[in-house]
Amino acid sequence: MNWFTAAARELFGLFVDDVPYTAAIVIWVVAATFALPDTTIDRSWDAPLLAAGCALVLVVSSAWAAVRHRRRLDEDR
Amino acid sequence: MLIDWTHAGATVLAAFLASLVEFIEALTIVLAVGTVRGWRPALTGAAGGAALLVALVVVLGPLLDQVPITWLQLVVGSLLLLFGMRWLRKAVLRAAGIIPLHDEASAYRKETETLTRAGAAHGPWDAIALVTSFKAVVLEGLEVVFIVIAVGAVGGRLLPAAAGAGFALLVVILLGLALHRPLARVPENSLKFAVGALLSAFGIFWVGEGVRFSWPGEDLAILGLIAGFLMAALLSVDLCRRSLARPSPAKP
Repeated sequence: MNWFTAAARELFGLFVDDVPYTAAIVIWVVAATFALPDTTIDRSWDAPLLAAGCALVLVVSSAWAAVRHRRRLDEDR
Repeated sequence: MLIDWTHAGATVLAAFLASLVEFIEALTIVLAVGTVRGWRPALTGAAGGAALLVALVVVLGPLLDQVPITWLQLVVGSLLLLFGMRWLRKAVLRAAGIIPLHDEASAYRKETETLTRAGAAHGPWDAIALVTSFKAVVLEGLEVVFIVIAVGAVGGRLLPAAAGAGFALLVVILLGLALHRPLARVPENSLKFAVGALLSAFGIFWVGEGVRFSWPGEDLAILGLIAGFLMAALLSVDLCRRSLARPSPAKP
């Protein structure tokens, strides 16, 4: 059973490390899929904007992690 | 033709680099088992784990041919995107010093201590050594199986992807045989950067195809996506470092 739990945890951990980060990616992809075709004037921008949104999630999430880490360090001092 | 080579080349490279990282981690544990408890159970466990992983690829890979391509692009693309972006964020946080770098030498020391404390083997087979080695190969290899199937299945490139992973295995085995110690000098975080960017690029490309968005330059867009994700990751590292280097506000 331990073995099974370890394998299941490993499998889940393949895709999810930080839940808010994973959720932000999923929400952006779903929102972009439905919203971009109706909002962009030129449809050739849909795909690059989809990718740019994911890159933005990475930048914001990492920067936020740095801010939280910094706060923890300041509190420990 | 150029487009086909771009896609196949990126597939082989992604499978090779990602597998290299995982096999190095598995090698550390197998080496610890072999050194402390003996090479026969260490190698038998590792071989058993590898056989299970090959069976998974052989069974699951062709099964994916039965799934309609749009669904395959959407599901596999989404999983690959989450997987790649998880690696990319971790590599960013490690490069910025927010989380510690993975240290193979320290992992080897810890595993060696645990195995030494576990006591002597009972009977002809050392079950602890066998299971530890088997588990290490299977758990680390699960990621390799996922990557090979994911990057290989959608474009019908299971063979190039498997070849990339197989070549990584060969490289790690040869280095392990030659050095007899963990591969601590491999720049693992740089590899994670590259793999994270490659897998995120593949993932978002297929998600886009799955929802019928058209990519400028078709398959060649993958190269632009790889560059884009790498730039975003480097920008993230820079922002994190700046945020950490800023002087703290004075406490009242």
